[in-house]
Amino acid sequence: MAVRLNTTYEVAGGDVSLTVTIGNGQLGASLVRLGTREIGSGQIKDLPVGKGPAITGKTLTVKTVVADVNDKTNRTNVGYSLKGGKVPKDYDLEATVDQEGDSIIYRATFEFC
Amino acid sequence: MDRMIAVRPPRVLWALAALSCSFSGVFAQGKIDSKVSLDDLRTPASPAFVLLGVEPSGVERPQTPKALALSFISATGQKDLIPQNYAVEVAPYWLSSHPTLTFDEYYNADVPHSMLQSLSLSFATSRSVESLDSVSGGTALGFGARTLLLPGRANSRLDTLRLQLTEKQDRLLRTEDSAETVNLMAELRTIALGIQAQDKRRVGWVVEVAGAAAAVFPEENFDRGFLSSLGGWVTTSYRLEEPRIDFLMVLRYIWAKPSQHITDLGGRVHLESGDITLSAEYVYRSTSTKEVTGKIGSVSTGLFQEENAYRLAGIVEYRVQQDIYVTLTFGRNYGPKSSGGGNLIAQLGVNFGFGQVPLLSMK
Repeated sequence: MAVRLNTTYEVAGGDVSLTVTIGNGQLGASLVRLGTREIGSGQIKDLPVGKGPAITGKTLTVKTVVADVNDKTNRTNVGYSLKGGKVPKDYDLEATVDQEGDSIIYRATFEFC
Repeated sequence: MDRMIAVRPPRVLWALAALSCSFSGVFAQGKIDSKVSLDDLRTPASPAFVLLGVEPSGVERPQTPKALALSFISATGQKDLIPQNYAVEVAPYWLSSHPTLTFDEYYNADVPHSMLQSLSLSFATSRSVESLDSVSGGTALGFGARTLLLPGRANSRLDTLRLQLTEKQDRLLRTEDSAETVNLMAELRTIALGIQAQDKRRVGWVVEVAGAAAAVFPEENFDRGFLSSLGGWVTTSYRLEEPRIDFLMVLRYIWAKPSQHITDLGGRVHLESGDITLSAEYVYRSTSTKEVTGKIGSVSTGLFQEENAYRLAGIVEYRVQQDIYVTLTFGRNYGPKSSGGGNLIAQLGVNFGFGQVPLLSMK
C-alpha cells in the first residue's frame, strides 16, 4: 500500500529546507532525493535542499515508510514541511494500516518552480 | 423512605473476588476459579464491567468517532435509547489523529499527557439484573474510567528493536523490488509487533487509577433507578528490568447500596528468573455492612457488621515449554468467616496458555 502526494513548491532566493514528521506515536524513516541524487535519509529535520534559483525546475522525491508500532491506534501519518520558498508550506498525508504492526509507504514529489 | 433494597452482595463480592482472589477461587467460589490470576491485583482494564459483574463476550472498541456512533446506533433498538447487553471501551484521545505526536513524545509523556493518552472509558449495560425488591428484570448500567498517572519508561529491549526496525526500514526505502518489499514488510511487522509488546513491559514507576459506578433501573423504570455501587482503584508498581522484579501496591474501595463498604489494601512481589516465576501477595480487607432490620417509631433499627480479614498467598510457576506452565499455589484465603469454609489455598495446576487446569487441590 502506498500513499502519494504530487505537488509544486514555489521557490524564492533563499535556502529551501525540508522537515518530515511522523505522527501518531509511530516510527518511520525517509529517503530524500533531489532529482536522482540522494540528499538525506532517516529522520529528516530542516534538511537543506538548496538555494531557490539552483533547484528551480528540479524535483524533490521523498519516500517514507511508517510502521504501526503504537498499539493504541492504527493511524499513521506523515507531515512534510517546506520552508525557504515564497511561503512556507505544510502537507499532511494519513493512512490506516489494515493489520496491527503493518507498515505503509508514503511517496511525495515536490516540483520546484 | 426506608424501602429496603437488596444489596446483591454476591455480585459485589464476586467482583472483588475476581480482582483479588488470585489463585484461590477454586476453594472460595466455584464460579471464578478459572478466571482469576495473579494479575487480578492490578487495576481492571474495564472497571465498569467489573463493577457491573459482567464479562461481556464481545466488547466494542471503536477507534474513530464514526465507528463509535455506528456501534452505539447498531446496538440500540428502534425504540430503545439505551442498548441492551452492550459493552464498549473507548480511548477518547485516540479517536482523533495526532499528526505531530512523535514516538518519543508518546513514550516520554508528562503526567497530563500520560493521563490523556491512556484514558480509557468503559460502558456496559446488562438486562440480567437479579431480583431487587422481589421484582424481576430491569436494566443495569455501568460506567468506568481508567488512566495512567505515571506510564513507566521504555526498557532496553525497545532500543534493540528500534535499531532493527531502522535497519529494515532503510533497506525498504532503497529497494523497488516488489518481492523484496513484501519480505521486508513482513519482517517489519514482526519487529513492530515486538515494539508494541514492549509498551506493556515498561519499567520504573507505573501508577494507575480507576473508578466506576453502576446504576440499576428495576422494571425498566427510570423513577425507580438508583446508584447501586461505586468503586475506586489505585495501583502503584515499580518494575526492575534486571533482575526482573515487580513490586506492586493496590488500594481499592467498593461501596454497594445500601451500606456495604469494602476496602482492600495489599501488595505483591513478583520475580522472574529464567523459566521460574515466584510471587507472593498480601491483601488486607475490611468489610462493613449495615442492615436495616426494622423500625421503632420513625427510627430505623438494624445491624452493623464489620469484618477484617487478610489473604496471604505464594505461587511458584515453572515454564515447561512455550505456553505450558506448571503452577503451585499455597496460602491463606480470606475467611473462614466470609467464605463459610476453610481458608487454605493449596493447588497444583497446569496452564496451557488458554486457562489453568487444576491437577491437584487440597482443602
